[in-house]
Amino acid sequence: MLISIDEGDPRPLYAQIAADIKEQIRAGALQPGDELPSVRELADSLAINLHTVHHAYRQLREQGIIRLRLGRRARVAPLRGQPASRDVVEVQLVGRLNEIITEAYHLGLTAEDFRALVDELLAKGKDER
Amino acid sequence: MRRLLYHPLWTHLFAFGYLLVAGWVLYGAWSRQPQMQQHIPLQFDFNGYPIREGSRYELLAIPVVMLLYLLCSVLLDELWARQERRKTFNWLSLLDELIIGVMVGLLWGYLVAYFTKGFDKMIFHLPWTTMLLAAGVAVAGAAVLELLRPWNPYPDRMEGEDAAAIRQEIAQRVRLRERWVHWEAQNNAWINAAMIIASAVMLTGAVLSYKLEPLAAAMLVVSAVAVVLLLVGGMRTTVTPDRIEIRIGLIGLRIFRLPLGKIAEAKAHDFSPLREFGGYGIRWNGKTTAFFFRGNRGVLLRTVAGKQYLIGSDRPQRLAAVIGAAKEQ
Repeated sequence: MLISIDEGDPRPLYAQIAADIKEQIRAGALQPGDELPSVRELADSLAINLHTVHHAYRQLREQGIIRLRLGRRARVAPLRGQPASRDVVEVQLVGRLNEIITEAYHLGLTAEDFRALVDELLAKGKDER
Repeated sequence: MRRLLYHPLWTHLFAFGYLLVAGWVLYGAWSRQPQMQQHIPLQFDFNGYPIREGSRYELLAIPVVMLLYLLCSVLLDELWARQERRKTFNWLSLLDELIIGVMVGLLWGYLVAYFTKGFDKMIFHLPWTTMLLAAGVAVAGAAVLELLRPWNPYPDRMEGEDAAAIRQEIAQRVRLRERWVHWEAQNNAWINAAMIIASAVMLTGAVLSYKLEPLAAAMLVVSAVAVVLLLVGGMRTTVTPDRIEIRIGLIGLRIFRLPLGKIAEAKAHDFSPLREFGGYGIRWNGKTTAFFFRGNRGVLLRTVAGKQYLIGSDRPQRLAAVIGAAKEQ
């Protein structure tokens, strides 16, 4: 598992860690049941605060992506069997998608270009898995 | 998709069947109360005359040993199946049928001798024919099942991965990001369970013996704590932009640390834990210092000073790519 952070990235550090773990699960580098480093080990290796890593893990646990139990090491949770409800999708995805669509508009991409880009990335993710 | 077992249980059909037969035969013998007494002859000299008597329930040791042997065999076959890169014939998988067949033949021969000659006149010689026949049938059946068993690649073996693509992807991420860590673990749940049980046994021994042998009891407590702290939790390998580290146990004791600048070469490597290192754990074979808790794959590191280290890994191509990319950074 490769986790990276960058001070130049506008996202907070905990969000970068959470995004990295999610991306690796999507790419298949992390499988359900795989162990994650302890909060202390990861914080030491990245030279960041324990609370930053803990925040990232807590967020992933709330989203059902990892299992985090007291006294045990965090593990990747089983993949979701069915799509999340519309309400969850609204909260976690639609707002951010709108932001990306707006960015794409201002970068001069047409709706067709944008769809093609999304299809290309989805196909790449499928290959990786 | 991960499976629970990669070596199917039905390949042990004959061993399971014999175990049931042993249980059924024993139950049948005990239920013939008047004929089978509470105390029976259990040990015999070379001429077949009894030299020790014991409870008839001591015969239960035979199916219990058979069951334990079968469970060990299931575990070993599973470990074998997870290492296979193609379908191979696992000769070791026939060993449980051989042993269990011999034991069933022995039990059968004993009971026949007991019931035909009676308690007082019993003379017992090893029933070689029955034992060989029972073992032969079981081994032949198990060999057929072993040939028929399907092969399923264990996902962690990553045979299909494109090493060049991994290297490219990792090199890109390592170059673009300011701080990063590659982390992986070799942590077997069954080793953790075994260590906790061993520690509990030591603590029980300490409690029972502290009045008679306080020093021995204290040593047992220290050993139990050391076993839990150092051997539960497996081995974790961490690569950061400047070093590679290995930690073990619950406390994360660092047992290896090497600056990446001292590494001349890092490559994925297949090895034989038993033949090359005589087992698992922290090993040295006169040429290479090795750290591995499972599997037979890892990354071979060669330092600029000419030393060799072998780091066990479930995904050695990925680990080697990370080290390679970090060195180029």
